[in-house]
Amino acid sequence: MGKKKSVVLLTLITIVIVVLCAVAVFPSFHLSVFKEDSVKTWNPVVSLYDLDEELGGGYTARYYPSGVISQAEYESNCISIEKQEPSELEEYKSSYYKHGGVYLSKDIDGDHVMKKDGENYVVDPAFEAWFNDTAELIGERFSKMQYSTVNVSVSDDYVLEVSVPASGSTSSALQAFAYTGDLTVSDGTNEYPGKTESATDYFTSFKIKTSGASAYIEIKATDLGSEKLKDFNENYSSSQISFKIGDETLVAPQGSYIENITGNTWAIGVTSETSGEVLAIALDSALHFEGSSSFAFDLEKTEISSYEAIYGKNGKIMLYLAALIALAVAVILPIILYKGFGVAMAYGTMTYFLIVAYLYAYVTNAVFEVSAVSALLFIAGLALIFTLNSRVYAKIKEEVSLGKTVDSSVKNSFKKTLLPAVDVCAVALIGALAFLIGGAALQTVAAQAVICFAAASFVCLIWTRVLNHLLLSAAKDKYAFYRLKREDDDE
Amino acid sequence: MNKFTKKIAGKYGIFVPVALVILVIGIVMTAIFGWNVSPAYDNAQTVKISVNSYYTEDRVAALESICKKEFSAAKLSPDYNKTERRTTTNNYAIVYSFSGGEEENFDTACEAIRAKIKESAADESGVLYGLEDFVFVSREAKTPLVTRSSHFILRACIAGGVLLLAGFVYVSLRHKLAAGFTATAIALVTLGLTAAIAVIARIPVSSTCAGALFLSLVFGEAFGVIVAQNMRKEEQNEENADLSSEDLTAKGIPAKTLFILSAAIALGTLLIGALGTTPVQYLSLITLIGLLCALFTAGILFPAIYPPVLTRLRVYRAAKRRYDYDKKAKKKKNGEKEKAPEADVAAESAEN
Repeated sequence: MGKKKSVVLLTLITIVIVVLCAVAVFPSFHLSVFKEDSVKTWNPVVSLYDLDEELGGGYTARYYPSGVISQAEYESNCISIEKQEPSELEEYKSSYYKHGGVYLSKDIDGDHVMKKDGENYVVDPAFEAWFNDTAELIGERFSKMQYSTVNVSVSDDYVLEVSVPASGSTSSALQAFAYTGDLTVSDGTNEYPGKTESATDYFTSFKIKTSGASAYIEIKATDLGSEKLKDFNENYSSSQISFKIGDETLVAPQGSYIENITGNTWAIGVTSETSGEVLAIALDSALHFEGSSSFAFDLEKTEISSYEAIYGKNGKIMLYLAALIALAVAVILPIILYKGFGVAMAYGTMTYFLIVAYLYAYVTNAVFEVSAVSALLFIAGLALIFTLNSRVYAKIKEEVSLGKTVDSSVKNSFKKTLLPAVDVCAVALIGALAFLIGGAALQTVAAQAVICFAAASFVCLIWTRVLNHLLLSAAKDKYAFYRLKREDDDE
Repeated sequence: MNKFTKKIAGKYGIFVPVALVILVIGIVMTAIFGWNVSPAYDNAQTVKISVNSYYTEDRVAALESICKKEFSAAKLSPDYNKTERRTTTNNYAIVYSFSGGEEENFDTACEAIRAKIKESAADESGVLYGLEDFVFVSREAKTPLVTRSSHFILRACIAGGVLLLAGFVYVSLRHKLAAGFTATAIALVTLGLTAAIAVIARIPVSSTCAGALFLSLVFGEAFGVIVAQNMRKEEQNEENADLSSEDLTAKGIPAKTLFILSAAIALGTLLIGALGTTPVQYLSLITLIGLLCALFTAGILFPAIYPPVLTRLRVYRAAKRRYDYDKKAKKKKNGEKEKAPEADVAAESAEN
């Protein structure tokens, strides 16, 4: 390639890299240029990342069964009663039993979470059994969502607490997964299953399925269930068919939207895969739940809160800073060590950074949260590029020391180091692909590893070689370009 | 040839017991104590300061300052605290989590915090003024129920198995079976040692740390491939035919490449650990352990074990290469004998 062409191409590549870098990392700022009132905000690509719980915080939900209240609510109620009806305070206080940090109602006719045992009140064993079964059910529902982190715990024996990272489906999951009770389907007039039947007489399973860009809940029904769904589809096409868990309606499509796929398999369309997954998991678990349904959570008392990263608000910024320092070292060090070839490596490294930065932001098909592991993978990719290119440089030096010309040395070095480099890149990629089988956080880590190692492989095996060729074509002194000494120089 | 590698080549009597001791202690400790679970996923006592009023950073800071003083006075040290803001109302709560502490100390601390808040709520110039009836202090005992996604461990094990198998098949196809075994064994031992050291050192782990173990397996596999391909190249080189197995092994270990790769990753990992928060530091620590284990396995353990294996391999390969006149002659003879009866039958049928 001619010198001029090389220079033009390099200039173009430099401009593209600089512009893309600015779009990726230039900090947010407010811009009001279009109208006096309008405020436009510039956001870099890195601000689009979904963050995991440790970096970005998440949501916590506390579910209180009917008849169980928090200490804060109890004390708040006492203060209100004391101010308004002081005479009723003692009665109110005596209607609750303190159990750790929660209060249990002694109203045995109403909430019946406690029962009388002689003079004393004890927790109703039926309530205790319901709570344990239900806590397990709800825990299982959340564990099936494959969040990067999930923490379902029991506070003071009778309050269920769930913490999950903020993601597209969190809000609907925190609500829908607290629904307990029997699964029923209603057309507005009649409710199925009837009193002598169970939901399993009608349905076998509910699963989320995708077809191209659309998602649907696949309903596997029994013959009886299929007959009923057909009836809904044909005779209740404009009525709403409510799929309920306990008293709560989970999904209510029009009859005509319940479509037959084949045989006893039916489908209900949903707006997105994640929202449909929540519905399918809730419906399927309610269908197969065999515990008691005589108690329920008081959904009005459910406390849903958001929280910031537990271990400091600056975690994200510090992580970005660490990644940027590593990037700066990976760009500057080769230039110092390998001169012209180092410049080619620096261009390659910047290209790797851009590929990873953009793909981390725009791969959003599944749960794709950026975590500290993502930064470690980014650095592993940088290390791979540096090591494999260092081997190429060492080989070039070795070839030149044998008395070969620079051109032939470069050609031979690239040729000789290609297959070993392919082996290392291939194994790293195979490893990343294999871990896509892993669930939850591991799947996300594996997807990010695929991005990092694939980008690093492209940069090592192809792009640095192209850049080296361009730079070498533009170089005046090829020996100086590689910081090599001519044999006659020594003399 | 690296001097250090030359020194340790064949010295399996020193390094194999070291690796075995680490693995055995790790297995025993896992069986007895299990993994040291991160405080956020373990049994805990929590102290919750609920505020039924609007959120301001000054109020949170004032409450945190009171709590910090009183916890310190009661000799309690929280593992972490988080501020939870209700999504539907202005209410919020500051939750402190403790993995240990005396019952009495918690009661003392809660009472002291209540008293201090009451005092601050009466101070007209303070940010907590008027909040006496809106701030509540409570204590809870938390027991974890679900801390990871369904089938997480099973899927991780299957993924690890697939990685090892795929790596073995790839390297075996590219560099013969011995190289495939080498790379897979290095990866497997790296993972085992990393997990064992994480258990022995009682590093708090969460499901995120599975990512670090995954990285250690990938490091092990990558280092294994680098060693296996280099070893194979040196074994095939006829110039090395006269070298002893120890020398050949020492020559085949690409110490410089392993060191550059390890140093580059270690620097980045240290940087992230230094700038990161507590869980990130633990994650970086496990990654660093994984890296050191990969370096130890590929750069020390392998050259220590391989020379006796290489000696046998060389004998086997030489025997395979040797032209066996007796065998050939026997084969030829047997072939003629087998052909003879067929020829007789053919001759008979021709006569008929």
